[in-house]
Order: sequence, then structure tokens, then C-alpha cells
Amino acid sequence: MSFMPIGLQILYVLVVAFGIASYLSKDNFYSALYMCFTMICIAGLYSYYGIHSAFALISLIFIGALGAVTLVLAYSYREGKSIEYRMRWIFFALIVAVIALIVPFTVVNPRDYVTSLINFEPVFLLFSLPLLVMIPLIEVWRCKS
Amino acid sequence: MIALIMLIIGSLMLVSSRDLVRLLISLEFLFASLFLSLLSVMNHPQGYETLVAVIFTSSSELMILVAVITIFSKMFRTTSLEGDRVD
Repeated sequence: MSFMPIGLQILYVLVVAFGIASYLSKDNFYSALYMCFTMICIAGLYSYYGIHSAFALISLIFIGALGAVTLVLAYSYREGKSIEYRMRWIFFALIVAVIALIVPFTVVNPRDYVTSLINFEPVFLLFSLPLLVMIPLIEVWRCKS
Repeated sequence: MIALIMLIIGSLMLVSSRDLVRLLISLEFLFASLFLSLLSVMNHPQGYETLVAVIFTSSSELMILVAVITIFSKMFRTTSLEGDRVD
């Protein structure tokens, strides 16, 4: 049996878990949300293998564009009551984004970090990208509510 | 293996979808399975070019479906394929 790193195993498990959650969810909005998380994990797999440009492409096109449109469509034609907007999720997204920006400074030399920024290296920064893309979506959600 | 699981999930969702938005989500899952299967050919010299071509082709196809959903929802005020009106 070949050895698979634990980070890779977690990503694969998350892909399947979010996929099943999206299938089982009756609400299209939550189904689209889980689909976005699935896409983030798949993009994370590419990032894990060092193909960061594929991560950026998938996250910008399939989460930033198509995921956003799917979420807004699902929410616009949502049956049942509207979702209550809670301000704390904006704070949560901002805190995660700030941590993602700060953590590389603590684990590597700042000079290497700047070099790695130019070489498009840091995975933490890439993971903060979908979160920052999701913030305008939450704003749309708030306006709709 | 994971790509096969995603393909099964997408196919099941596609077959059981009674809504255009759910149809869109199921298609995105089918493309997700394609991305997972493309991970194995990334060592090939033309693997990355294939991935970029697949990403742009699939996103264009999904954008066409989004345009269809938008027109459909403007005409019928719903995305349901069962004919019930949702406002």
C-alpha cells in the first residue's frame, strides 16, 4: 500500500464529504455553497502538488465567477424563508484572511517570503484568495436579506 | 477513485435534478471529476496545457448554461422544471 501524506488524505476526504453534502442537501443554496467548498478543495489538491497557477485559475473561474453566479441564482429563486444575515461571518472571513497573510511571516524568513510571493509560492496566501472572493458574495447575500 | 466518486455524485444529481440550478451544480461536479482525473496527467509535458484548455472549455459551457438559466428565469419567474411558480 503506497504512503499518502496526511494533508492529501484530508483534502480527498473533504472533497468527497462536501460532494456528498451537496448531493444530499435539499436547498439549492447550500448545495451550491458545498459545491464551492468542493472546488476549493480540488484547487487545494493542485496547490498541494505545486501547481499554483491551476489553483488560481480554478478558484477564480469556478468559485469567483461560476460559483458566485450559481450561489446568487440559487438564492434568488430560493423557496422558503430568507437566510438571516449574521455579521460575525464577515469577521470570521477577515480573521482567516489576515491569519493566512500573517502565518507565512512567522514560519519563514520575511525576505524569503517576498521572494516566494514573486514566485507565486505561498499556499496560505492562495487559500485566502477564495475567502476574499466570497466576501462580496456575503455582501450580496446581506443586500438580498 | 475519488474522480469516479465525484462522477457518480454528479451523475446522480444530474438524473435527480428537477431544477436548473441543481443541473448547473451537477455539471460543475462532473467537471470537478474531470479536474481530479487530470491530476494524474500533470507529469506529462502537455498536461498543464490540457488542464487550461479543459478549464476554459468547461467554464464557457457552464456560462452558456448560466445564460440559459437567466433567460428561462426571466421568462417564467422560476428555475424549476416542474412548472410551479416560485416568487
